Amino acid sequence: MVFSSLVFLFTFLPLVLIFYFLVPRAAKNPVLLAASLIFYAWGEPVYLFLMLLSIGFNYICGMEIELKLKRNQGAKKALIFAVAVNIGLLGFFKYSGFLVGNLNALLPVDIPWPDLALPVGISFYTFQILSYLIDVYRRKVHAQKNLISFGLYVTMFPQLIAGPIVQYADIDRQLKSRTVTWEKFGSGTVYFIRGLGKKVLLANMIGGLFDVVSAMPQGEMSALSAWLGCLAYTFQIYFDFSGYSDMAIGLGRMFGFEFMKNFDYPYISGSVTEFWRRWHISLSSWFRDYVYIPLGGNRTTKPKHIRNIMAVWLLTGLWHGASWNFVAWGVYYGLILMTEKYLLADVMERIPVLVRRVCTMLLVMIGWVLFFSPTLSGALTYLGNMVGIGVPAADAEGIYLLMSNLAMLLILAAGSGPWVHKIFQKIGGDRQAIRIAVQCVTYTAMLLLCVACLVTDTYNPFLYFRF
Amino acid sequence: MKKKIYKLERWKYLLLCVLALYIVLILVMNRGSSAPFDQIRDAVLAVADTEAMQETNERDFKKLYGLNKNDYEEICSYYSNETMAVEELLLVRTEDESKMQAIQEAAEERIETQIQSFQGYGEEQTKLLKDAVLLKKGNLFLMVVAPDADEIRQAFMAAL
Repeated sequence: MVFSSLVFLFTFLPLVLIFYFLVPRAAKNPVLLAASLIFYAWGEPVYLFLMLLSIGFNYICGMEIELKLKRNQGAKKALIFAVAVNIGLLGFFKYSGFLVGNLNALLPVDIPWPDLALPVGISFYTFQILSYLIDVYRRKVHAQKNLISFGLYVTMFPQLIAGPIVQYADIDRQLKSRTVTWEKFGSGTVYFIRGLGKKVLLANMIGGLFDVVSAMPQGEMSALSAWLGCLAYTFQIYFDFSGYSDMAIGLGRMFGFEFMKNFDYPYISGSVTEFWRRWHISLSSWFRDYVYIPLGGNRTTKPKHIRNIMAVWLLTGLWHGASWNFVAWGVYYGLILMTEKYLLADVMERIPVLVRRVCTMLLVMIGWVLFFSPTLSGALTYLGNMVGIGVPAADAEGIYLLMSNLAMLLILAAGSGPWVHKIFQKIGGDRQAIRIAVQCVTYTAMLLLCVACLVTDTYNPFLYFRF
Repeated sequence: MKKKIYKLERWKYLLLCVLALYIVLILVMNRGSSAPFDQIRDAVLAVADTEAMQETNERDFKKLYGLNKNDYEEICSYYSNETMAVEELLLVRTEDESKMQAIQEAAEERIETQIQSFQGYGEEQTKLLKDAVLLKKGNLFLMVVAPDADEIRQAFMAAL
């Protein structure tokens, strides 16, 4: 089930909210857990059992690690075993086909391998489980004794499919006790509608331009069309994913949870390093806390620091998908971050911020070409088109696409920064009543517009569902 | 405490065994096919009567299913352009579960819309639509609306 569907908006969510607020406090977590399992099973009934087994297994592993820590015996082995099983499961479903495909290409034999569907959200919930097991081992948190609470942590429907990746330490207390005030519920609703608007009114709309360009044969695409396609995807993925995150954060608030911010206007970044502090923050934080720092972070020798950065970015690339494109994408960012850190740090300080922002955007857009292209050679051809190799700089179709989408692109550019939000917050000045009235009208109109679009739309999954 | 750890370990290994069994079951039940797509497509087209149909282009596909044909690398899609004809054939292979879900939902919606359009006056067409084959086999999806839908389904299954 997706948030931007009528069945979610008008059946699932209202029913869950009614049940959640009607039942006594002790029954709230079971209601949310049941709702989350239904939510998952809606589109993925086959893998529901996998999730339930994973919950049971990791619930036991958490308690085992804690008990072994108390006895000071075997806790590390228990942790390694549990982590290996979880990574093994993720690897089996996500990477086995890729691995066998590459082996078949290299070896003279053809290893038969069934094509398995990827369980939706497995990359996200596996990382949440790993954060729990490692935090228990680090004595940062106690093992969760309540199976319902642990199950809810793993499956919570607002962030189950595409994050934010919630670290157990951040949510441990909220699983036991949380309150929902009218203010919190209201702000959650606003977040949700804003996210829905980003997805339905902005991401889906500009996704149309990307679809048109990506449907063009690459040899017939002008450089202008290639740039427009890349720009469209750049906006689509931001508004799609940050829209989903806003909806997740909003839904969490409606049920009393506080999830971490996942995006902080990444397209205004003055460097790629800054971009990654603002983009998919929960994933970057996870890799920082559970891979980068344990490897030694930057408090080590230069060669080891470079190794640490490359290891993190190789894994970040692979986390996004089992293909050489994503490996290349991860290595690309690893190399840029190292260059910024060791070669350009002094130079960058002297460059005007606007120039840095434009350069960062160009580098990010090149990264997205690696990300959206079906193959590595396809990505290189597309990049060639962007610089005009073998194709005209502009053609009639490219100019038509530019002119017909110019207004939309300008709106998206404005919406990518904090400016619109700031202006919106200032409407009415000190008169709170006016501000509230304007916000109510705006968000109601936005919701109605989204519903109108959804009625005529077909299935529109979020881009990050595939990870 | 030692006893408790022992008990937990027993449960842990038991669950691991169930997990392993479940995966084996998934591999067997949800088995797709490693046969090349071209081979499956040729087997299906050898049985299907596509003379009165035409291959969909990107625009036709968008109109029929609301999706982008180019999103699917391995696809075979035919439809009849006649006003009163409902024959359609769609064969897709995709590793991406969200794309698979999208194509399944789009195909179901397409059939539903067609039934609504023909119900009441196109008895023969409605019957073909109600007897349509919608079949997912691992990473493959087949939709057939045709008088020989069952033969096509059999040819598809045999080609896997």
